[in-house]
Amino acid sequence: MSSPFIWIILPMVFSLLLWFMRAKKTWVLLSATVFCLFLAILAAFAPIGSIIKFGAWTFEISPQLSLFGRRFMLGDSDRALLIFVYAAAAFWFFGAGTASVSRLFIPLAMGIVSLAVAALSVEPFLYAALIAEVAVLLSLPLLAPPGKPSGQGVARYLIYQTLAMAFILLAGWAAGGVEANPANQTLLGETVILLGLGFAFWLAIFPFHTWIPLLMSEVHPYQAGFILMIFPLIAMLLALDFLNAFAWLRQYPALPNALRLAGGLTVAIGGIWAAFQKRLSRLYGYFVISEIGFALLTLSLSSHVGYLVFVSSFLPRVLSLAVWALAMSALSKEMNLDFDSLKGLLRKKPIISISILFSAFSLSGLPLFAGYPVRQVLLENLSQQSLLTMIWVAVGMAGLLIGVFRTLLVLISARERTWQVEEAWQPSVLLVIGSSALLIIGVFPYWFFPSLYKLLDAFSQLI
Amino acid sequence: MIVDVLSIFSVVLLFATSIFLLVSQKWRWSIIALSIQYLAVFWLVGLVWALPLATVKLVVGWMSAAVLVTSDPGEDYIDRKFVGLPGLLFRLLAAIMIGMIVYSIAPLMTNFIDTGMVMLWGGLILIGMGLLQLGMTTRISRIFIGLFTMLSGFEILYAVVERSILVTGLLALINLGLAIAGSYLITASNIEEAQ
Repeated sequence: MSSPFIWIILPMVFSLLLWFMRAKKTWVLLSATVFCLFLAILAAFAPIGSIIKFGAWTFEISPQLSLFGRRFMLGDSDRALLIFVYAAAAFWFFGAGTASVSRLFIPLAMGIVSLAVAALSVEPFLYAALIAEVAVLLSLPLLAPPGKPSGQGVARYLIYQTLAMAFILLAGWAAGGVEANPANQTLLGETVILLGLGFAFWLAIFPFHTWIPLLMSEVHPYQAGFILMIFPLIAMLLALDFLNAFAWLRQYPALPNALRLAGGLTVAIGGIWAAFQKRLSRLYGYFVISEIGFALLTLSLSSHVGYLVFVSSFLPRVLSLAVWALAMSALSKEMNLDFDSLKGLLRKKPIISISILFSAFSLSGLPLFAGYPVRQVLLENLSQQSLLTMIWVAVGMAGLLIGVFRTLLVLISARERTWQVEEAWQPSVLLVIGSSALLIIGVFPYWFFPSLYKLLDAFSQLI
Repeated sequence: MIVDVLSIFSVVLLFATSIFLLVSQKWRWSIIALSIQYLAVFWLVGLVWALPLATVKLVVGWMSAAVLVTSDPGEDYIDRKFVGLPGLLFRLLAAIMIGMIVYSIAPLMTNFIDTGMVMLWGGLILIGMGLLQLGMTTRISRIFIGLFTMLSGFEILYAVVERSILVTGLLALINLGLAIAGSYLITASNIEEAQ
């Protein structure tokens, strides 16, 4: 048995099974959560590529699977990645139970997760662009559920992701040419431009970010949140893969500046627009855009510390986005997500309100929350490299904070002074756990982040 | 000689069909134009690939068109932004500008993709016209026509540099997936399924 069979083929087959069973929503939800947890635990305890003794049995999980002459590789160094991806999936699937998602969500999301792992493991990795596009196509029914017309956000999402595929494929071909002839500076420049455009479309970097807030205002918040968690995560890991594979790309002199410029602008644009939002779901979209900008800034550090911060930021990001998306889903069942409708919500739904605020505080990088430790290290290192970028980042962070404090003001500004708490217990339990986790990670980061550093094991050239 | 003439004819056919797709207000006719476009794409790809492999592009293109034609966008396909003669003239002018841009940048592109001009003209015209279509509409049915046009152009250029069977297979899968997704999104509002 091979590791790609266990962590790619099995989940794909399982997602098909879940598709046929989709009418039994609770069963599908629980089995998907348990299955993902099982895969995460298996990745934690089963070494890949060495003999495993289990009682009288001895067997080996081989790291390779060949398909049509191409290889899918998931070695021992990829185990941390598998643990993270499947644990995050289990977390999102479990939350889906209280989020009133479409019955297509779990089967399709499971398929998307397995394709994400396939994209990260395929060799040569230009095929990752094609696999990611298949995942994008699979995600469309989640974004335009039956019975609802598809909006502009979905259309732009599809267009930009398809453009990304084309650019990455061409960049992959050109990269082969650069490997063969590293002295050709023209080809090198063209390859970097193609790669840059590909990732700009993939990651929704400014000015290709417009679909994110649109999507958030059109689609169920939990489903849109999942898409905005998984696709940028795949693209970021693939960016690490490219940097790991190509020495010429790591050493390209203009790369840190380009990343800094793109990251700084994306953070600033996300923050400035966040300050003016009047709808909670769109605010979430702009926070996602800023997070992508911060990820680019960590990559721009081009140092070991930068890569450590890059992988460490995955946990607070995934957790904050999940908690916020779950809180919005719980709200969207009963009310509009406009600020006008949310006035005084703290007195009616304190747990949901506090969860939204905690997630936003964490994503803004406020002290004592999960996002703070990584943000602090990033800003400390960035300030030594570029003061101009720091100004852009400061503008963006100020915008994010204005957005958060406007939300806080809306939530506490009650027309009536009495407390009328009416919250469902199922989402509340999950939200309390999630919000507490955001605080605990923020207060004790060293309990959690060192295990995330192992994600870099898959990228040996970056260590 | 005849191959050269047919290749030039293919490029002209690509330009003509892509202009028709830009201005057409009838879904069925647009799908027929898309099918003819795939015939020209097949001919151009056949210049650099073995015929059986190039046939995959044609078959997949026609299958995609067949999938798309099953969904009828009805009124949604009618473009209400650029209406009447001024709208038609504006779109034709935009298409001619795309043609001129392609004609002027194609020689420069040979430095990057080393191939004949017909391949570059064909690929770039479709990419340009596809992007034009995508930029001029917000209608989901027209967006898919634009995506297919752009993707066909990309596939012509990519056929020059990559001949892997797996890539061909995956691109075929993406084309079919896109057609199914298009068909689904066009009709999504009419499908009933409980939450």
